[in-house]
Amino acid sequence: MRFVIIKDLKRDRSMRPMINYILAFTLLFLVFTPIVLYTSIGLDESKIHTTFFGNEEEFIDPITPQAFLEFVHTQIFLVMMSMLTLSAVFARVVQSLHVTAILCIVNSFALLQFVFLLFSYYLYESMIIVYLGSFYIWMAGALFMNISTFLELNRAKKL
Amino acid sequence: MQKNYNLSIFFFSLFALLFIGSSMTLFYVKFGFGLEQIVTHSKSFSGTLKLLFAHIFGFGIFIFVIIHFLLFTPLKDTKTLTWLIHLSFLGGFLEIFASFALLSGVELFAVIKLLAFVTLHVTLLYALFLVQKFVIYH
Repeated sequence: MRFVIIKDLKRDRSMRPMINYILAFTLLFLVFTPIVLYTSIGLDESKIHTTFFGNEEEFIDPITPQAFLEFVHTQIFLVMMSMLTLSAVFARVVQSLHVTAILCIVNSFALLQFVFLLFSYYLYESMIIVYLGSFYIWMAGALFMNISTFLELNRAKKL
Repeated sequence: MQKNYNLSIFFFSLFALLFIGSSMTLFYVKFGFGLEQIVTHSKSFSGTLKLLFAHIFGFGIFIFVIIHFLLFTPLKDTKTLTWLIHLSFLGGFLEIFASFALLSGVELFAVIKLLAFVTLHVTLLYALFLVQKFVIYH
C-alpha cells in the first residue's frame, strides 16, 4: 500500500465521491441537530427556560444538573467532530480569500453556543436568547460551508 | 491552506478543552472524587454498560485524533510522544476496565478508575497544550 498526496481532489475519481458522501452525512447531522434540540431542550426561549428551570403552574420539574451535563457533553463531542471534518474539507476544497474569515466565524459561534448554554443554565437565565442566537448563526454558517464545499467540489470538469 | 488547517486544529483544540472540562464536571457530579462514592454509585450492570458502550468508541477516536496531530510536529518519533500515546490510551482503557470491575464492589478498582481518569485527562491536556503551542508558534 502506498500513501500519496492527491493534488487535485476535484478531478480524483475516488476522493470526490467520498468527500461528497461525507458532506452528505454532515448535512444530515446539521439537519437533525435542530430536530434533536427541539425534542430535548427546545428551540425557543420559553421552552428552554421551562426545561432548565421547570414550571410550577404546569407541574414541570427542572432538568437535573447531571442530565444537563450529559446533554452538553454529548453535543460538544458531536459538534467538535463534525466541525473538524467540515472545516478540513472546506479549507481543502474551497479556494477563496474569505475561507479563513468564514472558518473563524463559524467555529467561534460553534464554540460560543456551548459557553452561552452553560452561562444560561448556571449564571444568567437571560443568556438563553444569546445561546439561541449563536446556535442559529452556527447552523447557518455550517450549512453554508457544507453547501459551498459541495458546489465547489462538483463544479470542476469531470475526467 | 496550511494556515486554514492550523486554524481548524486550533478550534478543535479549544473544543477539546471544553469537552474535557465537561467530562471532569460530569464525573464530579455523577461520582464525586471520593472512593466510597465511586464504589456505591457503580451498582447496576445495565447502567454501567449503557454508559461505557458509547465511551469505548469515543475514548479511542478522541485520543487518536488529538495525538495524531502531534505526528505533524517536531515531536514525531520522540520519547515524549511515545509516552503520551501509551499513557493516554492505557488511561482510557483502564478507566473502562475499572468501571466494569467496580461492579464487584472492590474498592481497589475505584482507586484504579480514579488514577486512570486523572492520567487520561492530564495526558490529554498536555497533548492539547503541545498541539496549541505548535499551531500558534510554528
